[in-house]
Amino acid sequence: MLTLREKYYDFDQISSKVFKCRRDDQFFTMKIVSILNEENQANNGVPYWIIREISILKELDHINIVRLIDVMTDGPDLFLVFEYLDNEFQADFLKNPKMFMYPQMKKEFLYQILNTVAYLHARKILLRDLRPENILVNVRTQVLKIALFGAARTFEAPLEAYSSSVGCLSYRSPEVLFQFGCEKYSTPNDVWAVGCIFGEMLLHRPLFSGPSDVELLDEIFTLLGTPTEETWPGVTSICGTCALMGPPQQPKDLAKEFPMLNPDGLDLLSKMLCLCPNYRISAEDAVKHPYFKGV
Amino acid sequence: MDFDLENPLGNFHDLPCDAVPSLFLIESDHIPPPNYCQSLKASDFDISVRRDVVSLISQLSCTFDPVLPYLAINYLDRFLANQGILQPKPWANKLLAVSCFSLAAKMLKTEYSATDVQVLMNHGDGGAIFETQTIQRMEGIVLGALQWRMRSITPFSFIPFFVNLFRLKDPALRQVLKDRASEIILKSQREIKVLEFKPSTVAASALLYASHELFPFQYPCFLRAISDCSYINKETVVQCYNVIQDIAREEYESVLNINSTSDTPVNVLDEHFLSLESEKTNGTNVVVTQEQDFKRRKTTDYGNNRRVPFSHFHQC
Repeated sequence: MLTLREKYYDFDQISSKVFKCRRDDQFFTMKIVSILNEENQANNGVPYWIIREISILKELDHINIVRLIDVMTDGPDLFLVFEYLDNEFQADFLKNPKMFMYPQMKKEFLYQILNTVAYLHARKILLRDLRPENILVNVRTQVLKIALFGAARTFEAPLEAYSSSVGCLSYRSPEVLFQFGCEKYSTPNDVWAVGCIFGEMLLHRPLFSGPSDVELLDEIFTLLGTPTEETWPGVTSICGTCALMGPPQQPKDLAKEFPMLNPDGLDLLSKMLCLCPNYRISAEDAVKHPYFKGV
Repeated sequence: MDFDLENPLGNFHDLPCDAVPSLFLIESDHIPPPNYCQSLKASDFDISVRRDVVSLISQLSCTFDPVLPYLAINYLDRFLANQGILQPKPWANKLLAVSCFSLAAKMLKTEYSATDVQVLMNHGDGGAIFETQTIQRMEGIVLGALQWRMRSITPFSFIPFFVNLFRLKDPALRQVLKDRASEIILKSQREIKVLEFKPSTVAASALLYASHELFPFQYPCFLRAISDCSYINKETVVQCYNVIQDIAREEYESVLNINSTSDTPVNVLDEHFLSLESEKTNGTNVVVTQEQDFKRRKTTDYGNNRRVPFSHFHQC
């Protein structure tokens, strides 16, 4: 078994715990994860959530997912070796101005995201925290990469924060916001996040940006209408407090909110942003939607 | 990221009809390589080491969900297939058992008491108490040998899928069937013969055996449902069914030989049958012969005329 420094060399620091390195003719990105600071280190060794997440990453082999190639340990540290993404891959893809020049590029990238989500869901793997910050794009080659488990170069927060449920709320689905603190995630939540990203591509700003779950729900219902037992069977029992519902609101006309979108696109967007999780389109069906004809 | 390890296929009804469950395609990635079974058979020592560690894992996890010991034993087999038998020392076996158990508990997010583990491991001989650092290092070795691919797809993952094919409507009956199949799966893992089969095949065979025990009149329908499943090789299921039948029969015979009381309806029926037979004859051998005849009749239900040699099996 080769040691770390025998296997990889030519280390070049990218950020505090991220290095570019080389093996033969290939470059890699190496991320150091310290498990020494974990509160349960004294008792239990490698925390369960790290083992679980690495196990998932090791299973994944998809062109649109940053590949985890190797895992090595050295005392209290883990070294995660990912495929290297050169500077052509821009992080936080929605801030890339070229994104807004070519409508076809939006469709291409949306398709790649949905294809990746469908791939994960077929393996019963949930993303739970899909957002633009985790997505890198190469505009020249029109290839998109989703970075999971801290693989994104811009990811600097401690890993503990990453695994907690506290995070960016803008891409959380209404059923998750209703039950904030209760981890009842399921596949429709990921599809909702993709719908928000789709809307953000079109409007050049986040679709929903309230700082709290109450404000977010209000923004959602302002656009899509307040849910009823008719539009969302069972919503009354899910909504713990009536206050979260707010006063009844009628849905807005999506065609007027998104004038740049053709009827197929409007149909897909409305199905991804369907309030009722059971009625929301699946990623599997979304990639077959007529909107992607010709992609 | 997260996934449901106990039920990776989720609800069958949630899957689109035309979707190929990908777990059937990737399950082979999570079992020991084919030559592992042969290399175990080639060495009595290796078999005894595996048996010892399996026994230790079973002691550690007897109060937990059956998926936990199954997962731990899967790690053990994959580790042995990769590393071979390292050293013939009892403490090394214990350390390996604790590490596989601990990793499985972590994957399933199962809480357990490290103190209880220590007490169990030290019961019997005055063995060494493992430092937590020692266990952590061993865990690291196992993780590396398994290339951190700890999400093993087990037969338990496929049970809901197949049970849905059976179309049993009563939830209580479905649960009884699942429980019995799970029990069979767990017991069969101790035998290296089962290691040759894929988890989905083991699940299908265990469910068929359980349905034959519990719902004999509906068994032909269940068999047809399994045979019609395009992800299953029927001939392989037949082979695996026979292996499982042998294992279950050994379990059954050991219960009879020990004369333990059992609440299992099947055992009660057969004890009654045996007592009737013993009233007709005075010879123990005759009773044994009658029992063999009875089992041969059960075997022919599956169209297999192979004779099974009678053997005494004592559960450890």
